[in-house]
Amino acid sequence: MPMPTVTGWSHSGPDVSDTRKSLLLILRSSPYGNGLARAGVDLALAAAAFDQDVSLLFMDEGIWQLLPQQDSAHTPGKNIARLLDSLPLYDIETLYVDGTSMVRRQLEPGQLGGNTQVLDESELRAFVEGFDQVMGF
Amino acid sequence: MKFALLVLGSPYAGQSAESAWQYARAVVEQGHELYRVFFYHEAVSQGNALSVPHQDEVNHAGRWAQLASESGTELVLCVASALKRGILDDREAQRHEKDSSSAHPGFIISGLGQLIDAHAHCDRLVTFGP
Repeated sequence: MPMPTVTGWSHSGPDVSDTRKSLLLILRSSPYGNGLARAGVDLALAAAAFDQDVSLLFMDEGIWQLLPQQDSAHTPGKNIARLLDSLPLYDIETLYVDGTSMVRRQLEPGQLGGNTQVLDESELRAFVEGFDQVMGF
Repeated sequence: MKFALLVLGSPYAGQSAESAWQYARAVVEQGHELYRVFFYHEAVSQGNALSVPHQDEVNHAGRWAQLASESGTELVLCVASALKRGILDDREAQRHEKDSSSAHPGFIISGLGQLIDAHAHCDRLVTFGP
């Protein structure tokens, strides 16, 4: 499978080889309608390409990014589900999901694509606190 | 403490740009180091030197550049976000055969690696959403 093209990070390479901090990206935007979902996934791919320890947590409207069989033919951007499918190539194996956001949208874990782990409300705080830094999209 | 900011909001829609700038100024005024401000997504338009706001409105690029020159902060526009929105410096304008550039000279255009670098080298990285 060819590596997906990621624009933006190959332009210049920082020297981060001496530092490896854990990074959590919280993805709260729906897959289409604005470019934030794409911005978040691009950053995840870039962070992984620079050998950073990056994890993804899907919350709120971001949950919809995880539904398989997205048809993006009539949207201007790339297919988010397909971009997410490429994450294991970058050693991002597990995708974390906020369980409360799923319940509110009447979604069951079985409906999501990818290798997901659902976190309930009691686990969420400690999970987020376990990371050195957090960025939100 | 060493800070970096990730800014996502467009300059003239919503509060994001204003909040980010006020926070940046407070970081500097309180004696912290503001290592880098990374403009991503719609926020790259905050570096557009060709914006002509009304006199009683904010000139985003100008005031960021002033803050940066006073504090030694690096202002980075994400290249992928910037190019598709027509924010080009001289080098990019030449490379893509455009007649003019639009990026304020106080900003540099670079890749997402600069955001990863900020993550790796700062104590705090604060996101300002759209």
